[in-house]
Amino acid sequence: MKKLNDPQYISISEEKPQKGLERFQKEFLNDRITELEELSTFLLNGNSSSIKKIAHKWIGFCLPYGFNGLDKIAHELFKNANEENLEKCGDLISSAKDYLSLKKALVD
Amino acid sequence: MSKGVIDYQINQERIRNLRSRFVIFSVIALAVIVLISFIAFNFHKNIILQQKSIRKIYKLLNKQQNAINQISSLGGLFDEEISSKEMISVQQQVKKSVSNLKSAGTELSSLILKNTSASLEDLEEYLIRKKIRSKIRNYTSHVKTLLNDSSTPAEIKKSIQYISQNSSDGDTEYINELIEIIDLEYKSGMKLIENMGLLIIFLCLLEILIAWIFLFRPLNSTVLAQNKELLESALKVESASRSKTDFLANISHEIRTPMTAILGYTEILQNQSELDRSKVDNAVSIINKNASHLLGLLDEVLDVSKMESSKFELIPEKINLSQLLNEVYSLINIKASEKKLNLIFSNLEAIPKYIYTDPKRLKQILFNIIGNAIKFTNDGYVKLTVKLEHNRKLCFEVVDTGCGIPKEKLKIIFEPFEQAYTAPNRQFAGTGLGLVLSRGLTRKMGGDLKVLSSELGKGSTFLITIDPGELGAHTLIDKLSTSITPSGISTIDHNEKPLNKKKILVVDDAKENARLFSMYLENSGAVVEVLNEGFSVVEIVKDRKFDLILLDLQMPGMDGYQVIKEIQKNGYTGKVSALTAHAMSEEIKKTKDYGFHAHITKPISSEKLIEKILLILG
Repeated sequence: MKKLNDPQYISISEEKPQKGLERFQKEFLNDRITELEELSTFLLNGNSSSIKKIAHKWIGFCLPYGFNGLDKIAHELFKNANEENLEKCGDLISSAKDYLSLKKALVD
Repeated sequence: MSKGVIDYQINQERIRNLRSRFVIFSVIALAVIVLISFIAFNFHKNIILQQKSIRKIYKLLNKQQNAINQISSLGGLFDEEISSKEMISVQQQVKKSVSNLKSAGTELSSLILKNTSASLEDLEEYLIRKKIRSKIRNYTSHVKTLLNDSSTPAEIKKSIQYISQNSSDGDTEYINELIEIIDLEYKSGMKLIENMGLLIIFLCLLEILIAWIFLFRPLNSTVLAQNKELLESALKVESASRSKTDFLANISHEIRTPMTAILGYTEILQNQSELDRSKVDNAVSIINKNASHLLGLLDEVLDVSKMESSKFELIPEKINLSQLLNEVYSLINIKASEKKLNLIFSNLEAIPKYIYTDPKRLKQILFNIIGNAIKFTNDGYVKLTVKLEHNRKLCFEVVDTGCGIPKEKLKIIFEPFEQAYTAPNRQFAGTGLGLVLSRGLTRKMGGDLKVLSSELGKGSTFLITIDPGELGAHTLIDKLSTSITPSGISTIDHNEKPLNKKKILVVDDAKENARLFSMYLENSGAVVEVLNEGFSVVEIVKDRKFDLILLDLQMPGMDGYQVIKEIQKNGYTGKVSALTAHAMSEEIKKTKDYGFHAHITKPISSEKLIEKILLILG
């Protein structure tokens, strides 16, 4: 369980990538938007294991690239995909969409 | 508390022993009683038969005596002038008496001969010795003379004289002697019966005594012992229930206090529309601190519960001991400084630089014990001394100059929910779980936690021992140095290149990770190669060796597990670490079972990654 002062609880405007990775943020964002399309397809097909794989991948690298909010969503998405709770997965994918839209506005 | 309140097994064993003893004793006792009864019955029967015979003999002798007396009294009439009618009557009476005498004598002989009693054999011997039968024949022949019509007066007179002389002594003296003998025999028989009765009573008392010693007394002791145990366990249960009640009261307070702060400050934030930044930061900081404290408290309760239900697992790994102690020192020195106490960490002799244990739990134990020492010390110092014992156990001795622990509390402070001080003013707040948890952890780590000494008003000494794991050819450090390092700041000097020219292969299908780790490792001086799938790894290591391979587990095609299996099959002996977002203990165990040298969890900061790699490379 994370502590309250952990990075993922900070506001989106305060999210910062690790030193040296700033220039990769835009590319990172675009790759995630592409994956979001894939997630929507997997959701329609009821493919929870593929949703789980993507969520697992996001957990591995979102934080260093300064996408703290997406890391938090990824954890929840992984858990719900594991439990095959597709309804909740749908809600989380929508949250991820909103988050990435906001992030795009900040990064661009 | 995994041991039952009553040792059920021991009691069951005791009851089984008692039961078998009872059965054996009952069988033996019954056999003995039957045997004694049989012997006594036979003996008694023989004596009774003998007494009956003696009574019969007595009657016969009396019959003989009466016959002789009758003859004696009638004998004198033969010499007197009596009518013939009277004479006939007298003769008939005498004949009858003679017949009685003879029949009694015959019956007596027959009785003596039939009876096998030893005393009656003596009687027969007496009769033979004294020639009683011939004397009786002699006597009766004289009586027959009186009855014989052809007897001369001189013969009659002679017979009368003989009869008169031998009626009470002489030939008939034997009767009195026999009666005396019989009387003695009778009395001796009665005495035997009396003694027999006493013997039987004695044997019964003896059996009762034996039954009491071998049966009732152990039964009584067992019942009393069980009663005592039941009472003790009832008291223990009652005490445990009271402790639980106290614990619930404590824990309720411990939870309410931070919850009050959290709710209070969130209400402030909610209600106040305009607060300056510093006040908001202060409120958030307080909420954060209290929430963390609450979380720690709940974790403690859960840990104790897991430990008691044996579901607790350690996650050991290779750790830098000096670094761990530094981290503990920096955090806990804050508390010591607040109370103006000296906090000293030192070592006696060289200690290993790296040990193999669960770092989170070791820190938990140290925080708990040193934290307690600081809590109960108002002035002076708290000192931690680290030592590697000859039996290869790593010892941490914590000495304080605090208030000490009362003697009566020393036995119970390691019990759940018990505390050394439970003053109503709650001067020393706590749940009463810290020590029981710490002891449970040290025991799981192959050691123990005990109080070496404690004196009221002077302080206490606690000793923590753990198994430091396989040290092998371990590096030792001579002097432990502690410095205050604020959390989040690495102990690695970034001006140096700690991974100086180490050849590291990063394998990850996600370019983001590959890019990230390459950057981290190259910044630390490593020579990095990147591959994005498993098959390439199998090929590349056929003729090349790396100082370390960081291998992602979840990859399309060939996953990390398949890769390590394949390269090890091909004889690759270099170090391979798993690099994965999975942090669960099952996954860590799985990677260990597959032969991974380490398990690194993503996401990971640059500093932590380099530290872990330095540990792996040794």
